[in-house]
Amino acid sequence: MRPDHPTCTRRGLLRGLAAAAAGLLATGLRRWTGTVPRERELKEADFYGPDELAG
Amino acid sequence: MSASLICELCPKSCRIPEGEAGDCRVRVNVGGKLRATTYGRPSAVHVDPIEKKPLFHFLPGTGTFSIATAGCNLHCKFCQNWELSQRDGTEMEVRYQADPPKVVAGALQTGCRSIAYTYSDPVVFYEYTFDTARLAREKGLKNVLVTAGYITPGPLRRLCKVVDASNTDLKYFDDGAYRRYSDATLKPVLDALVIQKEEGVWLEVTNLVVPTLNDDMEMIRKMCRWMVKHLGPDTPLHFSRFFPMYKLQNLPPTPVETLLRAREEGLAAGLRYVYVGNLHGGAEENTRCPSCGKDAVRRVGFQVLEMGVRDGRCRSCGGKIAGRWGA
Repeated sequence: MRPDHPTCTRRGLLRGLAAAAAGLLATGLRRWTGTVPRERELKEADFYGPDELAG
Repeated sequence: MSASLICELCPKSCRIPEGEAGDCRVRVNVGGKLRATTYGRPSAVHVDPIEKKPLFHFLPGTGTFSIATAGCNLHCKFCQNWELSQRDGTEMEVRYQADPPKVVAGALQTGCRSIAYTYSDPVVFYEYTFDTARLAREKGLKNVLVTAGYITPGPLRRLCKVVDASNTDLKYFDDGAYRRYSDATLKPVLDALVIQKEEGVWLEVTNLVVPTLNDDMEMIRKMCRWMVKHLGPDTPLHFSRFFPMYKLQNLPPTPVETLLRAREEGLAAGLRYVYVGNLHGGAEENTRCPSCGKDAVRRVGFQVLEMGVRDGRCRSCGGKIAGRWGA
């Protein structure tokens, strides 16, 4: 931390840390609740997805 | 003590330190052993017409159960599927759990005659492809590779034992272009084409014609002559239209005239079946009988409108038309 630098303050650092923690918590919650599935069971309905891939 | 590994699957021969991945992003050194992190974890699963691969002389009009994982050992600046190929498995929003028996069961349930290992490149999900293909064979299904052919000879020959057909990209007939635009080299691709032919795999070749990169007619002429000499005149060649994509969005789509000229070069070189793809509705998608000159198979896009081939012969004149039409 550089005290002579106007944008580098203790308050700013704490804010940054708080934002990072909130982000991690939100991602964790989404995974926990299944909003962001990491791996999905393959179901027949999946076989007819969008036709956008080439080849 | 941690040790680096050398991956011998593709000609890049990546030296991979412990815990890290090769250039393809998905083959990782885990505790001194090489692992494919995407094994049994496809990120794309579709039922496609076989014509989409494109394969025009192999089980026409049938569906192919198409799977792909993340990752690729090439980094083509114009990749049409870059969101899948230029990522590792963990970066994908969806990763299905589908071990080989589940893939084979899916293909059978949906009435497909084959399984296609496609979209990214089956080279980087080699073990998954091999195990699934072997099981599929036992269940009476055919196996199709859609690949850039950037693989070393040993693993390719082994894979060919369980593969029935392949559409292999020959992206440029120029080593410098391979290096500049795809981070690869030409010779291993040519070797892979010859090996597949030698191993009895039904082979079709695709050349994506990209304006200013590989649309030089002299280069195309040389490529076609090489094909006639080393793969034979019965090997179908698909000139495919480029659309601006990935890192080459500054280029225009391939002019139709360029594709038609490329096709003329292919026919003049002696190739019997030369098609133009990504250009729906033209007569250049039809299979012309080399004996009588009539359209033996008429297509629009990926759809077969008229099937004039029976037992590998033209219905009009009885002339032979190369392919695996209904095996």
